[in-house]
Amino acid sequence: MSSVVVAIVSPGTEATVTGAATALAEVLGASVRREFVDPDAAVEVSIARFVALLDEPDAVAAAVSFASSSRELMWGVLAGSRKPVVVMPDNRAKPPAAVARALVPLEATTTSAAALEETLNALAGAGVDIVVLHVLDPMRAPAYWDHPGHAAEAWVTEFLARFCRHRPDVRMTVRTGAAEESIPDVARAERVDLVVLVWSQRLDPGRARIVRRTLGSVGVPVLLVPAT
Amino acid sequence: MLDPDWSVIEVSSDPLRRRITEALFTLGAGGFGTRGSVEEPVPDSVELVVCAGVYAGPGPTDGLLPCPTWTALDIDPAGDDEAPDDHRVLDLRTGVLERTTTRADGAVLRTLRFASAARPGLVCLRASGPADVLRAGGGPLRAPKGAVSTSGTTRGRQWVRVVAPSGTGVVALGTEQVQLTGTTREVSRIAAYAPDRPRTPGLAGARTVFDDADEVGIDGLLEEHRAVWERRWATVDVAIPGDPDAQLAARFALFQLWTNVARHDEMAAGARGVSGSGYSGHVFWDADVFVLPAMTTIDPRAAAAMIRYRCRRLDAARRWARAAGRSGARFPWESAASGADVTPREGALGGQLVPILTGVEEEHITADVAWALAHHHAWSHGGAPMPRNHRAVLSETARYWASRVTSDGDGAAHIAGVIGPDEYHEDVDDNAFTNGMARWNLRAAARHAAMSADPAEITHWREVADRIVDGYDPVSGVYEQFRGYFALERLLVAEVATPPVAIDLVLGRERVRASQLIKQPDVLMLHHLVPDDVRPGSLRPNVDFYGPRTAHGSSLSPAVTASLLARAGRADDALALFRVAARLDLDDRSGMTAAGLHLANIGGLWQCLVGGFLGATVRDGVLVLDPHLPAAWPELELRLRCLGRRIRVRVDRGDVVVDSDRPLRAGLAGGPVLDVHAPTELASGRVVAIRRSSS
Repeated sequence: MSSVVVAIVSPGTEATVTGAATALAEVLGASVRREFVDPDAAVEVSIARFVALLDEPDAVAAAVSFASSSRELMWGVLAGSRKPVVVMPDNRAKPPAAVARALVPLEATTTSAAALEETLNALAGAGVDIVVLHVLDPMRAPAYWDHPGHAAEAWVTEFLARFCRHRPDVRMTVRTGAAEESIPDVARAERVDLVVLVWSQRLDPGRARIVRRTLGSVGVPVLLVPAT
Repeated sequence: MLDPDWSVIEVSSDPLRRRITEALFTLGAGGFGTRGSVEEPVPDSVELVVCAGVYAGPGPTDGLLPCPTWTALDIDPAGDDEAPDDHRVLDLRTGVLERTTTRADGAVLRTLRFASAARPGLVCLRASGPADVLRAGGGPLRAPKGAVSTSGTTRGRQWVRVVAPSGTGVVALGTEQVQLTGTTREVSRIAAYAPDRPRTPGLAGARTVFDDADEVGIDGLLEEHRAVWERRWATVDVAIPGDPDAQLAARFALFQLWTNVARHDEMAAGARGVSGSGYSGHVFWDADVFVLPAMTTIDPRAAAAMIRYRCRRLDAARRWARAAGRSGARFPWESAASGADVTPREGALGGQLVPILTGVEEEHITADVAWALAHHHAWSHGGAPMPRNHRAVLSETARYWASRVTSDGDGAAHIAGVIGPDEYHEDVDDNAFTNGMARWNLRAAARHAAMSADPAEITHWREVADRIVDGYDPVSGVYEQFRGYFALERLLVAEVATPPVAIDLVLGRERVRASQLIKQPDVLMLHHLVPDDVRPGSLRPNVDFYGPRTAHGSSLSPAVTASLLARAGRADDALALFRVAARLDLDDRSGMTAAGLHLANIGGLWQCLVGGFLGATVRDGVLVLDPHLPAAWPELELRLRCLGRRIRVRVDRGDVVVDSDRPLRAGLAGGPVLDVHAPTELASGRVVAIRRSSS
């Protein structure tokens, strides 16, 4: 069975969404199928339609644009999809011709690691240079950091072993502070083509803070991977 | 039959946990260590055999040389949907690691392994299981991945040699017997390890270690091995009635000290011992101040081997002093094979790249090395004259300090631009610990100097020592950690986070540097190491002042702080921190135990029992006890080595009871000295009961 990346095209976003879908499809070994938003349909109906499309076995991912006039629709698709969705943050962002380097911010949780495993495998299999970013939360700092000349190596080795299992081909960057501030900094510094984020798909107030801030600041496509 | 008082049990087959148990289940003897990796290939496993003191190269990141491995078996992998029931037990009493794996189809695989304590360097493995699961083949030894190695056979035994670019290496020599009985296959494997140096070829050394092991067989070798462990535990042990968790953790500490450090020729005790590749196998003050005092009471010959490592690198220390424009000898903050400084010059604090100044400024290690050999001498040899090579270290380190101090217009001596044990504050002047240890070093050298030493120089050492400032405030009874410390922002750890915490990661280096927050005991290390050289009665005010400012962001901190708290009479607070230290590796509280056991913490844990809760010190050949037990411990009994004796001390609410296998002078702090008379066997020793007047 062939796999497809579903490009969800709304008026004025065809080029960017198709471009992002094509770049992602190349990584995933998939083809692109464009699906157009019906401007006359109710938002709930459109959300249900696209989520159902993404539930089909051949759909491996989707692409959407936040430059769309209907953000409500896009958030609805993102929250309902059980497949990864690449988001073009706005019309200023240009889709990459190909994904050569990806930034993967990663929490120290097995849930995040499990959710990312398939995507990391696909990225690595496509020869993408993967930069894993972990942002240390000062309030959950390690108990001990004996010697900066040695501890960092031991800590990074353990982090990669626990949360990037079987992926010796990634690079790791560690920052301290707020993740939503570090992600755009590192994305720019590393000149990445794609940011990959695991998220809970919860949009109630106070949630998805990092996703929202990242979409508004990185200027490159963001691949949102459902945590479950 | 499992004895929970002696067993560290792992039932998880979680591959992530396995990385940690690989370190926890390290087996070793004679300087060789084998991590407790499972026998089949597992992703992310760090299967490793290393030899203390044998490094892959001379650089700061070269680390210990990976040696040939002996534990891998050709095991049919279980399917993804049939996670086996995996049960592993490290029997501390016998030094044996056993594993029983039951698969979904009922097939049972058993392994047993040990690193012979009777024949250091010899290791044994026995495995049995269904022939279609435990497959034949592979041979007893495998070269580590990426190693420069050669291999062959000699007299029916396989040998593998790994060599570092320097030419040093390790040779392993092994045999394997495979027996098929019905559908059950049994694999028996024996291997011998020896260092390979130009003048001491490893193959000959391995043959010597191997000796007649084939003829003795694994059962016989196991019997010998168990007998050694039985003797060890009869000599050194801990009993904490009513607190089995603390007792097991303390026994685990003893087990891993024997495993990682018990070598009797020369011992380069790295910060992670031989249990992992962390900290590049480098030797820090962890060895001299945290591990060696423990080994002095556990295996004095091993402590002597650690001192030998330092004494044999005195010339390198002299060169390091000369390079800095000083006299005498300066020991490097981190050292490896040659004794030259191998401290990295940059590192990372979380994600922040930071320069590493410890190699340049953490100079107190020079006095720590001198302290270690004097401490060992006092505990093991009492008032006997110190050996000449030990006196040489004391004298050369004293010369270093005499050339290191500067004098002000008032004649006071200062030491500027250092880092104390509290590494949050760098490039400070007159660090109380560094100054205090330098002063102690000068006086100790003067005290132990030979009759032939230059009297003028001895007088000079004493005169310099008397002039060194120490930051003591007679009003508060508190030592200022360094000049200007009291003017820093008054910030307590509890206002920021719950210790232990790497608080420099929480607040950032600059904020912490501008505050009174500290990483680990600094001033209080003076009270820990040289209690007779600090102002009488200053322990409690300094514990009260610095305790709330200590983040315990170093794994060295909790155990030694617990010891100080006990001595200060706060035994319940001490027990709380003792428990933190006790679980540090067992629960992977650092998140980095997979890189190796925190040997300084382990040594500190035993020191806390001996020097803290028992309050044991040796003064002029007399064992002095000042016990402080927490409310949760109605009784504590320790067996240990002291002054060439095997002693047992039992403390309960009313009495302190001392046994000794040979005559011993002992007493309570401030009380009369009693003679423990001359029984020849500990078990039949005459008991001296010392009743405490305060109880």
